[in-house]
Amino acid sequence: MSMKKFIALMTAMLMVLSLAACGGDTDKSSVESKSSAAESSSDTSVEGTADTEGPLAGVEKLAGYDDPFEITVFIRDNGEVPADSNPVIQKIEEMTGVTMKYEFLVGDLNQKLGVMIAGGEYPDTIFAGDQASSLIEAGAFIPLEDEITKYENLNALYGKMSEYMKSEDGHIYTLDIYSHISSDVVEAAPTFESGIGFFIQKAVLEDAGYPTPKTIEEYFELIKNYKEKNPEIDGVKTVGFEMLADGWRNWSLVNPVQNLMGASNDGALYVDPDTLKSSFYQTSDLAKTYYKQLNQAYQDGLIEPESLTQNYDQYIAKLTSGAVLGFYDQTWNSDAGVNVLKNDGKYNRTYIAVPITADGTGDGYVDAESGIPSTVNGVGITVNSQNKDRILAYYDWLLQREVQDYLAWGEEGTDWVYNEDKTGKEFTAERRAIENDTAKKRDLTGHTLRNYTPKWVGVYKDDGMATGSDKSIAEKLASLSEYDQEFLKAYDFEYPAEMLSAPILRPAYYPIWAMTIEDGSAAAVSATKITDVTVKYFPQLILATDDAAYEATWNEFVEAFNAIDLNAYQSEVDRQIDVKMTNDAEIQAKMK
Amino acid sequence: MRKNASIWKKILAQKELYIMIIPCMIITFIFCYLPLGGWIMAFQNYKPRANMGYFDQEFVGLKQFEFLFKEPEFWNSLRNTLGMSLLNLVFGFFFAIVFALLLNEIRNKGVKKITQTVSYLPHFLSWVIVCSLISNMLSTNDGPINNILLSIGLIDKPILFLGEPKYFWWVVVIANIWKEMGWNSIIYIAAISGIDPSLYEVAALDGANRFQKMWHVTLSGIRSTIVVMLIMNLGWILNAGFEVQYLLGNNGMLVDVSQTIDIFVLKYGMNIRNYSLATAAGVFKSVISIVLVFGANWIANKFGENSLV
Amino acid sequence: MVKDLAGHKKRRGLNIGVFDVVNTIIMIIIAIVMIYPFWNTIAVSFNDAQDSLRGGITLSPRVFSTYSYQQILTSRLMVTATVNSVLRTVLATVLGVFVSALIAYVLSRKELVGRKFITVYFLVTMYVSAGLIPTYFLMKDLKLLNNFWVYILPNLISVYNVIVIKSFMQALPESLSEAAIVDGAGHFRTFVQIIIPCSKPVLATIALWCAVGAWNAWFDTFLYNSSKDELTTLQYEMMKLLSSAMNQGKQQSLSDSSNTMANTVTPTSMRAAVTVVASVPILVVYPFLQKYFVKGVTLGAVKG
Repeated sequence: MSMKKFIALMTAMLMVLSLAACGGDTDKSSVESKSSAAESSSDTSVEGTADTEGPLAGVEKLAGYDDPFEITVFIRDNGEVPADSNPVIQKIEEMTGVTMKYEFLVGDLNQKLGVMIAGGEYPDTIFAGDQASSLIEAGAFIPLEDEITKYENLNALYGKMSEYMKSEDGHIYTLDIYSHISSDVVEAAPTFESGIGFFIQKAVLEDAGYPTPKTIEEYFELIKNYKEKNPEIDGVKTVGFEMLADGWRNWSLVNPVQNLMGASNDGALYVDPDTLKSSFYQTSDLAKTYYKQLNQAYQDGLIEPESLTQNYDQYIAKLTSGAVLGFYDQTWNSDAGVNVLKNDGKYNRTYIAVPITADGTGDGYVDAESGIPSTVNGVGITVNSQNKDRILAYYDWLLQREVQDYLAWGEEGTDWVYNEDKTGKEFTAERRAIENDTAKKRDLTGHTLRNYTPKWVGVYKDDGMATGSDKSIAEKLASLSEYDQEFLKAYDFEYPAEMLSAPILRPAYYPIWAMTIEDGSAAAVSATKITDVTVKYFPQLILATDDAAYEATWNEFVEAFNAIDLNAYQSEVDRQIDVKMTNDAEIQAKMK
Repeated sequence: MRKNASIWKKILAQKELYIMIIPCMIITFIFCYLPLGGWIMAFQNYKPRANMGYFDQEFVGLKQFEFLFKEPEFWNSLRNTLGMSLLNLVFGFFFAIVFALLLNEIRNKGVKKITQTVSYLPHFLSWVIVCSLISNMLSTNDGPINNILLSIGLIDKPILFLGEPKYFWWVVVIANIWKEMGWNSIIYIAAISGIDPSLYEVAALDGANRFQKMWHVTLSGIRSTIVVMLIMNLGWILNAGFEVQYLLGNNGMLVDVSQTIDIFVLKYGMNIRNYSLATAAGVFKSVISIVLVFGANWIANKFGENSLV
Repeated sequence: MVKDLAGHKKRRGLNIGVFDVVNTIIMIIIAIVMIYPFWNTIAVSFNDAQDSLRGGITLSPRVFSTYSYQQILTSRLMVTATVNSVLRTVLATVLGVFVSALIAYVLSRKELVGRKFITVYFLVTMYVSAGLIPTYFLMKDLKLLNNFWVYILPNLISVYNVIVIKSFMQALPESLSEAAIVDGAGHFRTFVQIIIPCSKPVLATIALWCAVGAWNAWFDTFLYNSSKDELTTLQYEMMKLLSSAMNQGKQQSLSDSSNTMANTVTPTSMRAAVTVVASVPILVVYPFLQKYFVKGVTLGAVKG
């Protein structure tokens, strides 16, 4: 930068600052939208503002596009604002007159929300995920149940299931932006691979002649045999089973027992699917057996003690070596390491989830998409917003199929093509390269915009096309390596999730971990303690020197666990299960 | 000034000093004392609400303090905090001062300058980076520390340093020294440079050797600085931090020795949005700090040391 | 001094020699131990992001790449953030050092009526903190939200610094200021013309502390100014880049299964590059201030 430019910049900055210091709040355009909802997505508009060519040819501009305004949005995720030059976002801005002004979370969400609520300084819209409950409780959002029905596309998306979106006070405050929601337009997409479970290296299965292990014994047996045959992999000492217990990333230590019982990733309690009775699995006989099995694996040299003390970076570094034969994790957590293996072309060293349960039957690792929206996992419009109607009209406009496809897939030919038999869409090689480059994906595609606004999730019923690449089997198959294709062929699978039981439809209360426990309540304190005690004792159990030591530690653990005010937590969970199930029954009745 | 001059006359004579200090006192009042009204939260079950004053909140008396004092984990955290803080204080001061003294004795200007500049570099690294390096060094999986110990035959199998409670406080202390020794020594290096050079000449005339000069001139020249720093830092003894403990000791095997008050408050206060509990813990810490600082100050005065007040 | 030493030189020669050698060796070892983490961070920052996940990088990059730096230097608000950070650092340092020294001067005057009370008044503030929410309310009431001055005003007075300066000033010979006051110079003039020049080593230290503190601060941007891009700071932008890199794992699995992840950032590489970018500018300050630490300069000059 030349000195002149720099000085000019400094001067400009000083001017901005002095303006800010004078306390002058820059006024937003206060012009109220006059557009009616019907106009926004109708194609009978007299104005005829649609492009005749280009990516959104034939799509009418949003009414009021010539009167630009800004939507400020706070997002509880860490992220980065797309570049101003993002062509997709520019195109949308041009057609709607709406500029999204993002603020992504930096630092601690609880601190941020605390001051935001206390000060009443809200942006126009907020996506706070499951923390939205505090905002709802504080009266930060405006009720939307009467608004949704006014907008054709919003109503098509949320209308059918809107009863489920109501908070305990009967109002709808947030518009779910993550879940697949049952509607006349989309249906659930098939699950391609399990997001959680006991993973095993494909090479281990290949070597053993492609078996399907179903119990912990079988799982460790396979690993043990392979490790004996291959004490080193690519010059690195083979590790049998890897775990991670680093702070909040503690699920590989505390969660598996509920999976062994046939549940999925529910929470700190096991809920019987038939009776809906909850119980603590942490102190069950099955838990005692499971940690004993891990203890045995430790004594056999399959688990290294460092597994229990290592941090996330060290864990990922181990996964990147390809010398780890098995681990329990959630894929989004382990992907960073597995991606490196893919990058190296070591596809035989990547992993697949296997259907491990206690009795070897009926695993429940994969959830079917229930089609039920969440009450909190959505974006809400705050009481401070002056532009409620225009924001909703904008969301409604975005839900048009053409716009959704443009945001998720880009332009046909350059970004995506139909697969051979025209049953699905897949990215072009160029676009796939963009998708894999974080910065380019952010600055060249509509990903950020689509991610944080209401959207269709699943497969469109009319033509069977996926709403986005994450739901497209065609895209996933197209990006499979040759090794993986061969591997799946050996099992006669089309995709990896077939290793596990078919997706299970969960009861309406599911899952426990997403329940909101009142801030600072006894139940919240108990929940914290449950984590503390389990995280403290399970490593000791795994590293027990002999059976007597194991017994002693187990008894100590059970005593410490039972000393917690378990009832405070369990009764709150039971209450919420009850409320949700009753609601569900009522809603079902109403819908019939 | 006459002996029987009234106090007001004295004050009037010093009006310039007051003109200098009073605006500063006002600023301090606004930014430090005024918000202390928020301590009322410690006696409430505070829920953030827009447009709601403190007095619209639910009062719960001493409930938050009761929770703290009845919770064994809190006392355990207090023990860990005090343990790590004291070790950090003693060893942190010792190494920073010795480093400053030794550096002062270096004749070669190049070595002196480079060492001084380099020594404060770790201060600018985040704990995340430093702790990740430490974890790697202490690894049982080809970590350099275990490798060295193995090769000189001190141990026959790698030690799981981050899984053994007995090592943890020392790991924290060493981490702190590594990261902050150079930075903490800056003040002593500055203080040493303020020592009157003629004192060294006098000492030399008295036949003092090098170590005697270090002891009687250099060290005693910075003694008042040391005492002042020590008293001030004593007040922060309950702030052992949370980052390094969180990053190195956040596994179940170490939680009994690694959880500090700050972590406890984070877990049972901030993370479940119990702002009142966090405030109550803050009040508790403030009271202890003030008692400690003024106690230490009183003792320093007794011994005729240069003190804060 | 030289003359005096010369007389004893022969007797103590050997003794000094051994000590000097040992001492120099100790210092060199310390320098190596202390430079290692920073050196390692630089090496990681120039390493390919994906490759960094394998760990094990020590003194030099394994797969050289400047991708992390490109990402940082081309990020959206880089220029604004740097300008703000420089501005707040300069202002906070100049004002902070002056105000702290001023208070320290007043508190070091033994004749001040109420000195003890005023000292305690300041001292207490070091150990009390109102907490997150009350402080936020205060900033809101003072109209300091979304305002540049929130970077300067709340941290203007650091009592810690005041006490350090005060203890230094108390060690100055009283004759210095008394002479000036007798000459008819007021307190303020004495402070500016006599005391400040004599306190250079300690003021240089405090300036360093103020500058580093202001430069490294990001929490105030996070709490008070985060919704206004024009007021962002370098450290806050760095935190943003880092936390967004940490979120990447999640984002990737949301999108699709992939083959090659050639150009991406990872927390490990981003953290290293961010550290280098954010700390190098402030590191320059120290050597510049070091000249004030040269032994005896100030007092000698005054006396002469």
